[in-house]
Amino acid sequence: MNLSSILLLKEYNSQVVLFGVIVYSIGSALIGVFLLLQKRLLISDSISHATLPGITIAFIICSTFGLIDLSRNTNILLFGGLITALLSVFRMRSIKHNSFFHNDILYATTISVYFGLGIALLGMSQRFSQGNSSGLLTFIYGNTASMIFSDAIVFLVVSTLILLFILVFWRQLSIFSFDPQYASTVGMPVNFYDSVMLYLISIQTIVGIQAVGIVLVNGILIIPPVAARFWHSKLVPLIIITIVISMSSCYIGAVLSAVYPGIPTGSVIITVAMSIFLLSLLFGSYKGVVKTFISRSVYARIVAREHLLRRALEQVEEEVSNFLKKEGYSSEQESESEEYSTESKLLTYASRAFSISSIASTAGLTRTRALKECKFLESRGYLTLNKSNLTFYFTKKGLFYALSVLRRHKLWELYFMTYTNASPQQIDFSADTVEHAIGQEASDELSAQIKTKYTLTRLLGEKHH
Amino acid sequence: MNFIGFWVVIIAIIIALSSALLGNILVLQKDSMLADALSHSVLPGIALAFFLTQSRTSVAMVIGAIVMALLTSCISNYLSETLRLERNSALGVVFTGFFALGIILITNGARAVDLDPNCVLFGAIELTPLHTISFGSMHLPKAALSNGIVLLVNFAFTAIFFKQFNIITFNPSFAKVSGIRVTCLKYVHILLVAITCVIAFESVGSIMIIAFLVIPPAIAWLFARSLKQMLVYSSLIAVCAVMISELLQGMFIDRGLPFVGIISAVLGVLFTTALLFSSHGVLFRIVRDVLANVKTIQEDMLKVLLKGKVTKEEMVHFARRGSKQHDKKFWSMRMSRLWSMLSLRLLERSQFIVIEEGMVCIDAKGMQKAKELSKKHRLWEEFLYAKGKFSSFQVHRSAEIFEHIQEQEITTELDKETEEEISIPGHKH
Repeated sequence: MNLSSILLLKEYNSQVVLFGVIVYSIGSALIGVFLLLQKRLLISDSISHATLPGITIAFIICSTFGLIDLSRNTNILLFGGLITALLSVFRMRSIKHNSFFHNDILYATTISVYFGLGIALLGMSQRFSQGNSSGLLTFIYGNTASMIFSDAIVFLVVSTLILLFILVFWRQLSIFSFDPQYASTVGMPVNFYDSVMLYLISIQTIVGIQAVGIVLVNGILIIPPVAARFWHSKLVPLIIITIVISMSSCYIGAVLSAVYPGIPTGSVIITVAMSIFLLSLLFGSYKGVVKTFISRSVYARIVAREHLLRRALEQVEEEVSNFLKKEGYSSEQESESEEYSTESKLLTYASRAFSISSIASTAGLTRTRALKECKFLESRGYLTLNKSNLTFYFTKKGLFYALSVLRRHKLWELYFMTYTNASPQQIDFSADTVEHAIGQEASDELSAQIKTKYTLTRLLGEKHH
Repeated sequence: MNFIGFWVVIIAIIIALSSALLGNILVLQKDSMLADALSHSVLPGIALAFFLTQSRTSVAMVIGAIVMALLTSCISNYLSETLRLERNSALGVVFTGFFALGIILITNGARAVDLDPNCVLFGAIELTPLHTISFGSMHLPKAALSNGIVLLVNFAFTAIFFKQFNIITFNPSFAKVSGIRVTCLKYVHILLVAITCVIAFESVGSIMIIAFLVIPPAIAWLFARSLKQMLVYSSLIAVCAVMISELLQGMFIDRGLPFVGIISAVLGVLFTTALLFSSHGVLFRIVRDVLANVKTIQEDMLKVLLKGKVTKEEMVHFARRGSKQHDKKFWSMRMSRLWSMLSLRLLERSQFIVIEEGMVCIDAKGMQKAKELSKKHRLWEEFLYAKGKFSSFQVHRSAEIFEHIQEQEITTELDKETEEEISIPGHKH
């Protein structure tokens, strides 16, 4: 066997398996995304467990009365399984409507009760019937490699049904998934969508249970949508990414199991899907771990830098206001036209050396960290650094940057003072955290809101009264 | 009862109690599916323990399973708490992945040994009394000992941290603010759940343990008014379920029904019954709704009769329309005619109305009642107008609904609230 024949799956058997599994996974992916958004992915797990009692009952009935040759035709067993699966769906829905129980209790009770019942019946059937029931559990676990072409056709039909359902009710389903309360208040038949969806999952589960196995049935429904969640937040891209992930895990899984024939294909596919999930978790572009970590540390550095600059400026600000007081200015006398003169005074005062270590201690940074940020600021032309005695001077650019940070801080303080009843300590503290998050737009809006009442210069004086 | 039968019941009771104790908190924190996740994801742990030690001693397997269970809970917690994934989805991803891994490991090694995944599923409680440890002349089954220790630990944990869990389950943010180590306690709790599950798997299997962890607390939740009550009720229910199953098994002893299966079926039946008959239950709610509906129809009828005679058919027609408006449940929609006829009959029996030749007249007693009702209606209108800032056009429709509130206290209070006459502009009576 050479590489190309493995990668392209030249063997007829593996082609059928690949085709069937991919078609199946598309159906699952379509419905899985909606289930993810409705926060009830695990319902598929409880439905697949609920098939056992039905399958066993069908087996007992058939083998006692000798109706159908079970070694040839297993569809009757699947039909029995479908009935109990639908029963469990009906039961869960009615409990949900008539009690305060959360979804997790419904799923857990369904799994334990139905599966327990199935086990009890299984034990019974071993005494009851002449037929060999020990294969029933293997039947549930299924075997992906033994899939035949008619199975694949059934998958195609069911997946098309799911696709049609989703296309026809696209708008309603998306509203229902994002906000069920809103959907029911605008008069949508929420119950209808809900039940049709659950019945479709039941059918999807039951057709897959023997042909692809219970492991794959649950895994391919649950894992790809969750993995896709790390890449995007919008519905259509979410569905596309989910389909891509499930198709690629099916392909890789099928190839791997063609190379190592002893391993069950379904489990291999799920393990591949799991690895894709881990990759998405780490490197996902929407909320992957690496991305989140990077953006957080970048943000932390920006915060540290801005604190550093603002603290430096605030040292001078104190001197300015003292100077103003000495000169006989009071904050009441200042008018808006004098704002500029204060700023220019600030500029002259700010052109002196600041000690990094004292500023670092007021800004709550370690000295090495402060020095690192200072070096960065110097490389961007905000500061000039004197390395011999660890001091820095503002450049003009840096001073304006520091002023804008100070301005944002003051704006927030003012906003909190004007619109909330927070105490002064709280105000400074909250402004400390929020100031870094304001963009230009928000800052403009804030100043427009507040300008009618106060001016910036007034605030500069007011703080120290 | 023979030695084996006795110990089977005792072991089942021990496991039921220890899982019911932990299950309450699990259920209250909306985390029941953790039990399901644990029962699936221990599989690779067991397989790996076997490959590493090349022996089937249960100690190695239990350790492997516990490690796997802890890994599952930690990963799913990380996914749901730090990465804000929905809790159930996080669990689902973790356990389906681990289960698939476990199956691969087992089928790969299955040629060398018979490692039966079904054993994890069903357990073998009937065989547990056969492995015994001797203390002098006493023969104690191993499973009873190990599960007994787990029960003691669980009991001590619940007793010591009862107060903390009481606050955490009621209001987690408040618990955090008042200095309780919520996360730490949560992890200890999950650790105990994992250990309980793994130790119990050997005896009762994974499916059973889910039933024990979730169903008794869920039933207790329907009746209990506090965490303490919930703990007591769930323990009682768990013990009862084991006893009932023992009785049932005595009846079907030769049918080959596994004990584990019977217990979960019994728990399922108990759960459904509790749902039907509890005060939150379906039946109670139907009865309450129907009673309220019939009462409302009667009052509406009396108010109509205040204005004059009406034919019986008109009366029923009117009442049906009203009933459908008041209550949109299917039993009042479909059977509105029945409820209307019933109300008419009830009114006649209590001598509020007289029915003569198809015409309905109001009696003296009914007149008094109807006047009371319209006074109540007026009171509500005034109240809504004065205190509720309703417009004069809205008050009538809202009062139509509120006037049916039966509590006498509310009427008296309303009377006090609206002592001086208020005239509502633009509103006719």
